[in-house]
Amino acid sequence: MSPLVTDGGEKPLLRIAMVGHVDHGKSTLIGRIRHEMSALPGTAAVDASVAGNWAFVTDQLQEEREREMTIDTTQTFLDTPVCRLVFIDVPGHQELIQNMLSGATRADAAVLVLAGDEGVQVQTRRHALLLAMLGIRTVIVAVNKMDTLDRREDAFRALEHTAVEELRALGIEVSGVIPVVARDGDNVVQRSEAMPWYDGPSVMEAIGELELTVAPVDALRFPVQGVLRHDGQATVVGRVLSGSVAEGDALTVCPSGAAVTVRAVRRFPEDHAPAQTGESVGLVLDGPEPGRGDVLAPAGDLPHVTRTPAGRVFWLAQTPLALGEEVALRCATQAVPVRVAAIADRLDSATLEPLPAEGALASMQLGTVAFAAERAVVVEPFDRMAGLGRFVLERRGTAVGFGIVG
Amino acid sequence: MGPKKIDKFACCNALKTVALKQAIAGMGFEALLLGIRRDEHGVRAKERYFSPRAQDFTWNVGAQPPELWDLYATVDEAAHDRIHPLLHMTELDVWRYVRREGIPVNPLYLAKDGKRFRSIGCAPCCAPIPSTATTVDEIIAELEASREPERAGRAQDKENAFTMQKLRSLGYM
Repeated sequence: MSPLVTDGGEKPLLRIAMVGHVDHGKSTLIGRIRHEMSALPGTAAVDASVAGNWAFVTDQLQEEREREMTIDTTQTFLDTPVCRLVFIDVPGHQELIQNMLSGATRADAAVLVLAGDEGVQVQTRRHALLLAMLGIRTVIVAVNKMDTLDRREDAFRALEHTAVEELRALGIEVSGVIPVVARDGDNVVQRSEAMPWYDGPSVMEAIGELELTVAPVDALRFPVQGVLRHDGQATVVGRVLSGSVAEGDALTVCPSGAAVTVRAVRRFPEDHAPAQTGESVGLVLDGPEPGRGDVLAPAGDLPHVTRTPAGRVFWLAQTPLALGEEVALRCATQAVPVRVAAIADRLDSATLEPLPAEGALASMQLGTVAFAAERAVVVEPFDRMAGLGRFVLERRGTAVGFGIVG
Repeated sequence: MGPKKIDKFACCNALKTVALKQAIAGMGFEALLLGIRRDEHGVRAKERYFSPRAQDFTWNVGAQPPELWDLYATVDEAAHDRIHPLLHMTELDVWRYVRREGIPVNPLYLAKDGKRFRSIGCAPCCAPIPSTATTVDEIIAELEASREPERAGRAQDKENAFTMQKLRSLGYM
């Protein structure tokens, strides 16, 4: 989602996912932050009944409270003097990874919560792997439950070393590792006096210091959502994924390669200024009419057009993805039937260990999948153009996996 | 009918959910566009932008389809879909948007005799809050300083634990 633009809401928006293994304290950390920050004007106080049971701030379902486990992802909002924060809580249980992804795909940064008494567990690794895949490379590690380690520095340093190394292996340079007791508030908002050997920031201070790399304004990419007809005129509508588009621009329709010229930029109220990244607009074009799924781009800087897209795929469904199977590949506004042509380099997301070659990708496995598409698709490497470098695979309209174009 | 004759849960369910079911069946709607937002209530915070509903209206909150990025599940076999385009907006976002676009507002939201409605539903179960905000600018200033939750005046949220979850699982908006 593009950040919401409102007057009075010009403060930067930062969406932070809390990830990590089940019961390591993700919801408790969010609840404790909300509790301590609720002295802020404009922030509703947390319900007195949750005092001491901070996870209940976000765990609002009866089943969640009875089982003391987050089932579904939640978002909670905090307006601070310098930025607007959205905390995205996600379930840590393996069975609920699809709910974790529904939350984490909307995050700009993450806090990886690691319980001191258990250290790195299966879901710690899996969530870290998913962060790396999703391109969320701004990560703070909170080593929680330091009370179970008597708040000792040597125990913390050992966990810090392991976490930093494991994340580095995934391409993530951590922005800080913080010893925390979320339940009691140690190093959550206020710095803890009980761990005098630690002189770094609290979790909230570290969040305040995060610097996100803003993607540079790049070449125009305009995925077509549809064509509206009014007064005998066709208006091509969509949201500008990248770059800007002005009247008079000469563009290429991908994948067909047809040349078009922008006759008018249409919006309400009427304004002919160039449309910028993130804006939803209509374009009136001279030339062959594009359709839903097409991508408009400048002639000199085109995305990749291919019948054989490939990417790193994380599989979600219980029924494995089989060689030769046909699924729908959705990328930007495209939805194209594709057949699985090859599966290679499988990885077990629980251990991050390679798996032997096999003609199927099972639930919770990662693999490089090559597809044969029914017609040409428009893609780009994820690191260059995230919106054309990520895709969802569907069986009968249900997301069963997702992938990243390398 | 009415909360004095039956309990609030039964009243809400009958007046809103059952009535909505009848309207959807009568009109043959395939989808509803709804303005619910995550910051209104902890249970609404768990919604998706595209939310499929079964024939009996039930919402299975623990087993919602994955919704990755903005690649929404727009094709399904659900009896109807609930579409929530404002899910990520906060109460303040809505008022700032109203101000920016000059959108007319229901006068019940503006203070009269020291009170205004902050959240409006059925008459018997909505109470006004003390307020002197008579303009949209004053509402924004009031909310920027407030520590009260938005739905503090809505009785069905408070009747007992999990009322909102039960209502929503049966099809309440």
